[in-house]
Amino acid sequence: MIDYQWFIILCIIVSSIFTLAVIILTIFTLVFRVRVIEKYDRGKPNV
Amino acid sequence: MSDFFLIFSVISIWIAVLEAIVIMAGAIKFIFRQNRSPLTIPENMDNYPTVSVLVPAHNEEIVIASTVEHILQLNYPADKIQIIVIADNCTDRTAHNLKVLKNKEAYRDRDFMILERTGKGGKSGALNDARQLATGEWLCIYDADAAPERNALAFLVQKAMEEPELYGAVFGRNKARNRSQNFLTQCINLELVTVQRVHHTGLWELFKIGTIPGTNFIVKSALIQEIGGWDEEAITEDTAISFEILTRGQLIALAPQAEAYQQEPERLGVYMRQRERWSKGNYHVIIDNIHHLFNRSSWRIKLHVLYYAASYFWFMIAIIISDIIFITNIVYQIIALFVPSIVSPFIFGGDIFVFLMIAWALMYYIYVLQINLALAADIGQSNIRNFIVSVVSYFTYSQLFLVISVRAFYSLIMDKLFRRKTKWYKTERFD
Repeated sequence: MIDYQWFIILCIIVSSIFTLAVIILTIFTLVFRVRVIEKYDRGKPNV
Repeated sequence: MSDFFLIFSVISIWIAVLEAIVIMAGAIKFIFRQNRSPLTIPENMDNYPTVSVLVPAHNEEIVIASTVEHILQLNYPADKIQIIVIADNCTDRTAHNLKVLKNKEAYRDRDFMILERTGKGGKSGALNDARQLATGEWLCIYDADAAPERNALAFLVQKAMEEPELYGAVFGRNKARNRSQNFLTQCINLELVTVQRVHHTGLWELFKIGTIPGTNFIVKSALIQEIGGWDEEAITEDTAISFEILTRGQLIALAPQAEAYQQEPERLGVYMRQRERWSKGNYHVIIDNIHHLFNRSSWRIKLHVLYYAASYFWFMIAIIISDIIFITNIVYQIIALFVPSIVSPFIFGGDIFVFLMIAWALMYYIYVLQINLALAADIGQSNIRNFIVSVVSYFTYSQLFLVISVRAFYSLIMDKLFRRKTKWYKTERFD
């Protein structure tokens, strides 16, 4: 069987970078969602 | 050989994930910037240009009167707007309904023309006939089922006035007015929201790339004249003309506040026919423009061609291969429970298969994340129901894209082989 050690290393590096990027994007998405909810005061009863 | 397919799939999915990450980062930048700047509705429109609004309509008796009323009520100086509705080869009451509307007291003084035509060329032919009569400096196109919001045209022109020399066209956003009708329309709504609030914004923010969406856009009359009008052979005339505009060094700008509602297919058969037409049209456009990758065209056109080619050819092939590998391995593992000696044809060295699963999981996660970013940006749409639909839609609605793409590709090959003329399906409307 061919040795794919180099590809495994590449997989680890790429997957780690993408995971980090996705975590950052998730944080930004959640921050934005919270800001929108606060701005438009959704879910709170009208006084 | 199976190793090659696996590595090809993993690398292709990585590139798809990278594209998604880059576009989403651009969209987040755009959304945060837009959130900081207040919405200003244009008040003084004295220096705004004249606009001819063209509405092609083929047997649209159900929706046409409502659409034209929305256009007549647009917040734009009445003396600067000309409305031409093209009753294109109609065999129903489209023209009659338009005449009734035109005779209403409130609209008698408006520059409102009904053009009854029997010529060929479908939507492109209708637009080409109408542009001969158009007097506006800009042309504005609305489909027959559109319901533009009151300030939609004003926002489109406002954006055009920012860079009148550079912007050849400006497009707004389209929303599904029947989004709650059934599961299909809910999924189409999510796709529409995501394409417009993530893909369009990301591409515009990072690369100043835009594509005309077929309705709710304006384009310079002189530019259309220079291009020679809409391509009557093109199935997706909007994408075709977008490339023509970019080729001439003009940009297609995004005016995110310019919103219009449209009707989406409510039945699977109607949806499949509409999307097959779009896919086939986009294949044609990619083939017609692939030469830009190898000549001295600008980087923006190259990137645009690459974006389309990757979405419709490369990623599609990679997803099909990875799906085959994934399903085959699952089936073999189930069989192996009863027949331990059986071996899957896709056995790989090391942990490569695990990394295919990780790449796939990342793609799925970013798919759901993109939808939910888009939903958060569209007031009132970020709710539990839409979140559940976004999670489920990948395994249901999105897989239709593969079926549609393969069928459209097969149909394209058959057209080429047997020199068949492409049939143009009009999307069915619903009451």
